[in-house]
Amino acid sequence: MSVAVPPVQQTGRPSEDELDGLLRAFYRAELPYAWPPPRVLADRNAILPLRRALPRFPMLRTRLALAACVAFFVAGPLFLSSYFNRANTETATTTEPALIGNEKAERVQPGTAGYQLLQKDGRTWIKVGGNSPK
Amino acid sequence: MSPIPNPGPPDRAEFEALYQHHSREVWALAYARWMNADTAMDIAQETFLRLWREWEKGERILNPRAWLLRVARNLAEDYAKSAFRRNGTHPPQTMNGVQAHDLPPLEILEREEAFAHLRKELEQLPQADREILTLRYALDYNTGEIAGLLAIKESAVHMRLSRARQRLAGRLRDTNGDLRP
Repeated sequence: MSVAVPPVQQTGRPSEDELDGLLRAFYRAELPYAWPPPRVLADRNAILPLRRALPRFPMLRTRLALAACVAFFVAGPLFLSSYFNRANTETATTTEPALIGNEKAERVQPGTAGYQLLQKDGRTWIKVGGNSPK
Repeated sequence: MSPIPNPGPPDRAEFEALYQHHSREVWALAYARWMNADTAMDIAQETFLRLWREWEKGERILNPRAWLLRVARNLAEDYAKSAFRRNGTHPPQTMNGVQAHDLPPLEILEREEAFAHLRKELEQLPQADREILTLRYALDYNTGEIAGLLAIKESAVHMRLSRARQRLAGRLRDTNGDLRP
């Protein structure tokens, strides 16, 4: 930044115009060449982009994943147990009917209408069909 | 000019506008006190930092310009008592051997010598003289603007400016310094 400084009269005392020019050149040289931005905002600008990059709910995905895991571990055994119970029940009704412990059940002969109690390997099984026993 | 509560966060745009309009004035007042551009800039930045903090606390400054100038004057005075000025952040010998990237040309050296002489004489003037000279020659303020900033009449500005120039010219004559580069 070149600044022209006016000459001073040889008498030693500068004239008014010379003093004006000298003072103006001096103060212009003293002023910062590039006026800096306010530091308080400059410091904050260094932080703000990071803040903007953060999502609105920064823990949302993590919490959703955790909730899904908990739900899986809670619901999984329940589902599996209910599934296998149902499978066992279906198997029992088709191949191994549930054992009847009702001693009042009436034994009838095969081929008779109504409930038919079938004897199989010394155990009593019920097979539903026909009318109720008389 | 007592601060009143200002609900809501500080307004960045308003702050930047204030900085744009008044930071040079704040700098000029601090410079007139210390005749050091870097110190003046530090004081100016600290002044605006305090304004921002006031806003963050929910205070509204009714006349920000007057508030800034008053705080800048106080900070400039406090700077004389600060530990930073007394001790500095580093011992002076730390800077031994540190050189500028480029050696300044002879013209700049001569100009700096002339400016150093002028600075020495300016430092001997009363602070009021330095303030008015700084506003006039650093910021190119006219008498009306100076009067508004210093809260004095324009006639007083004319008188103080004239006297300041006379005092400075007299000192330059007495020292008979060669101000030519």
